[in-house]
Amino acid sequence: MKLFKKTLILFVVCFISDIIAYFLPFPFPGSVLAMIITFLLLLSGLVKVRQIEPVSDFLVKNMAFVFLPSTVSIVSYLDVFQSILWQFLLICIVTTFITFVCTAYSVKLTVYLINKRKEKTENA
Amino acid sequence: MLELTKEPFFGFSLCMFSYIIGIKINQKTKSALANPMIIAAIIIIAVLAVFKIPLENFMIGADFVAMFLAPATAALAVSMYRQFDVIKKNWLPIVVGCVVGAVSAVVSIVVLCKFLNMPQDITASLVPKSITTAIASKLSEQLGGIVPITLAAVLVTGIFGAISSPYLIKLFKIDNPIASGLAIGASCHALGTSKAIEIGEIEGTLSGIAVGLCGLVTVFIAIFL
Repeated sequence: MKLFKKTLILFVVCFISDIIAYFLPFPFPGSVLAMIITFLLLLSGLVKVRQIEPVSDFLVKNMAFVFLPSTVSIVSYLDVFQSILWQFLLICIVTTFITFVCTAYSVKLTVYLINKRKEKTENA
Repeated sequence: MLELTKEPFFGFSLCMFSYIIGIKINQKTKSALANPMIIAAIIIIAVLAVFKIPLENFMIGADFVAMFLAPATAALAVSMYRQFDVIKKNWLPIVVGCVVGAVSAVVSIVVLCKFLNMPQDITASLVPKSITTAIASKLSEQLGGIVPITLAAVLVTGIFGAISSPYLIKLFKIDNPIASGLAIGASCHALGTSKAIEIGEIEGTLSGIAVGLCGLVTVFIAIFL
């Protein structure tokens, strides 16, 4: 009964999110909207973590299971993969590297500037 | 006989059965390469091939599994909520890191795809490749990409990132744990986060935050693509 209620809360949020996404003037994934709405519900206290907890943890922990069907359907796209294999791998590796470096340095700079500002106000 | 595999129970049970085996093998080997989902996918592909079962028949039951994607994504909000104090304390570096991370990922992918003359649907499949699978698959669908290609790209990115990130931290002298945590989360999502947790507690937490937030920022960027 309890698990029933916890699952119901998450499912209803997903359904409402899909309805909102349908009426949005731009395309937006309903599942992401469901994540935002759940976060706001928790933040506002309307839903408590304990009201969805074991179900939500189970879903997050086994997230990979949900992707099993789409992963299996890779077999229908083997010819596409064969035609772009080296470009595919190159793009995946190079862009991961670029993203890592850009993020790391921008955060490093931000933290440095925050600390410098703190020092300035402390000295003043 | 083959008609019976159109029963939804066939696809659903096959998913559960092979995933359980995947987890068992993963627990025995404890290697990142022995990913339970990949093992399960290989088992299913083998079963379908050996018994000559059409993919469509399997999908009738498997679609019920895929239905849980939305509630699982919603559940990610709980982990974000648990880290809310850390987010509040470091909000500026987190916002800067996630925005820069998402923008640099999307721009570098689009530019490189153009440079390598990739067709439109491949570019659309690769754009979400640095974010968490839950959001990436939906975003790929929305942009007109091929979801299985996106999943493969997300996986390759995650495995490469998880292996290389400790070396990248040393190579670029990232001495700040907040910076390395956010960089790992922004560039190689949950697979990278599993490595970040090994590196340190702050790194792991910040990496987890970046996974959710970068996914969100990328979705907003995609509205303008």
